[in-house]
Amino acid sequence: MDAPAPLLDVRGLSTHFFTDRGRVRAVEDVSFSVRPGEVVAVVGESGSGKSVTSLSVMGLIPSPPGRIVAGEILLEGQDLTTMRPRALQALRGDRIAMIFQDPMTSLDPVFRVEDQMVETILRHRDVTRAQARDIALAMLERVHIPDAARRLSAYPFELSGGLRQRVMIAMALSLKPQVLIADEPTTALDVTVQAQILRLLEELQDEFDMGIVLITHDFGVVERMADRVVVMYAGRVVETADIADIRSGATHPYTRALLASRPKLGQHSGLSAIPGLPPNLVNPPPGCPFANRCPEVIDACWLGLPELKPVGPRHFDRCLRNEAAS
Amino acid sequence: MTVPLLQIDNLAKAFPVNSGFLFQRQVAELKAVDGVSLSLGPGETLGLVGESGCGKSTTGKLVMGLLEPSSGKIRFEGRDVFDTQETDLREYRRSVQMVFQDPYSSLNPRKTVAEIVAQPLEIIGGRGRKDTRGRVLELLDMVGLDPNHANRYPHQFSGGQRQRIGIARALAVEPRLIVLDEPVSALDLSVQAQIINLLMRLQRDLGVSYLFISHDLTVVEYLSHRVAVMYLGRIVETAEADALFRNPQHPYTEALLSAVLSGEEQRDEVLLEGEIPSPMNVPQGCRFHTRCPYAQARCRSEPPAFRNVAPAHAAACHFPLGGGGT
Repeated sequence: MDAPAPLLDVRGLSTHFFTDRGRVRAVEDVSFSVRPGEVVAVVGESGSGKSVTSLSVMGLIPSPPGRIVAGEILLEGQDLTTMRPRALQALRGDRIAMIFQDPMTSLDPVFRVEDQMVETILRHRDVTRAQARDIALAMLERVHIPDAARRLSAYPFELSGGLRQRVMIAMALSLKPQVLIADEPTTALDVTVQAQILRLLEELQDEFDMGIVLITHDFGVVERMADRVVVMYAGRVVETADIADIRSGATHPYTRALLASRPKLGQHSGLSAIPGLPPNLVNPPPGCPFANRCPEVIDACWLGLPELKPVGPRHFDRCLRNEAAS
Repeated sequence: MTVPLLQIDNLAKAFPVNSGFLFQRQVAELKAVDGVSLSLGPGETLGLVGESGCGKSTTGKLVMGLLEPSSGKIRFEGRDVFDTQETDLREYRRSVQMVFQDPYSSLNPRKTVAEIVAQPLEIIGGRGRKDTRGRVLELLDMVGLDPNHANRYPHQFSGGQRQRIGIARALAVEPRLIVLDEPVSALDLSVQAQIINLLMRLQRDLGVSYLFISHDLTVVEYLSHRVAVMYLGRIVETAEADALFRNPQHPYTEALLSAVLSGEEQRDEVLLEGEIPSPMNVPQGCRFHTRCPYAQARCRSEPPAFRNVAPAHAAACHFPLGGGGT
């Protein structure tokens, strides 16, 4: 299989926050790439750096205190980290777009859906207001919003949670971006509505051949949507592989522990919790960041940070024990 | 037959909906809970599942005695909770405690952990200061917190640890029943498993009953002996946890299960149309007919009775699904 060139290629990204309590290494040496039609899921718990990664890609890290201190973010070969703010603004929403967890706080409450969508389109496309309105309407219909023409003149608070998330998706996709970053897109929704929104994202991805970066903590969503999985812990990638390899043979102890701590239907006992808490990112201890919680820890784990090494074709992991085994 | 610990009969709670600024008048009624019957035995966990707005949290508040029902009865050990002749509410609230979803807003940030856990003990009185302190340390140990941290403030703890503080506070007065309202929804997966295991151990050791309110079916199945599914203020199905999950009889339960993304065991997807109707404008006939993939003419006109479809398995549906696994 000859893989097409990646749309988005993140290489060695490090984003730090300079706070009163010291430098917080929120994201450290993170690399992954996304090809057309591919869904790459970035999985992790709170504080793992997954959201800071997505905000870095979008150029939305609040600065100060945050700054990208190393690495490249290549969108079709063009490095976003060195781009001028204005050039980046022209690109955002056009070639790369983002949807957020909470559609209520990411839609402007005092503007109608139409105003918000038309403004985005006019900013990036040389069309008249009437044409922009037509694009917006077509997009609302495309995301299956019933009675779309009427919804166009609604304020966000007049819409239900599921409809708001559809509006967000319509807005993000109205300019047919090549890359969509979806940060916990269904976390705020009820399960039956979540299923509808995931189905919609799959449909639209097929149609537009987008690359999707899916930021989530929910392995259920990952299993349903992802082609590739990037597992993050304490700001670093600890394992990355195709979904099939994660499902059948995750190698990093953190990934395996995380999968085991998820109750499955039909299960009534034997839920294994991960003891303890993730490390402080201000003064991370030397050695493996997972060592203090790892059931398979050996002395060497405390000494130096293991490297991300291949353990199979397209399968990498950052664990000393697997390094020794391979 | 023995008297159940908690017996709820035809419970209803309607909230007035007012309009107007100076001269408010009631324009409608929101029936949050509309004819709910449940029972719960000693040492048992009853899972109450449903999506937002189905009335599950209102049911929890009614059981806590925080709201007064519009009609119907709640009996605790055979006595009517809201009949002042039969029950002293103060006394009742010692027997029933609550743990909330958000461990950030449910703990007073200005009090130390010891003060928070001691408060219920001080309210009921009868203990010296030293005795109270001893009990607090014992409780902290019981929920897996370091008693040496008793003088710290909530902000010094992580989300999971704060939830342990909330559980210690609920246990302080040795309740017979704890209402758990989404106690693990705000927690990370690895920490969620720690809290679930803690709740199960405490039940085994103390024999306390749980009313476990959640939207997360996998967690509910893991923890519950019996499960009740709520939709728009009514129970639509109740059964032993095993039977409900392996052989759902109500189409809504089936859709909820199908929306659970548990990987391996993928069921045929049952995707519901639309979202939950407003409880101010409940559909005629069966409340679920507007979204039910199997709805027929009768469902639109005639509300289904809640009846047994198998021993200890009841559903409110004209055309229960039947068949299946068990």
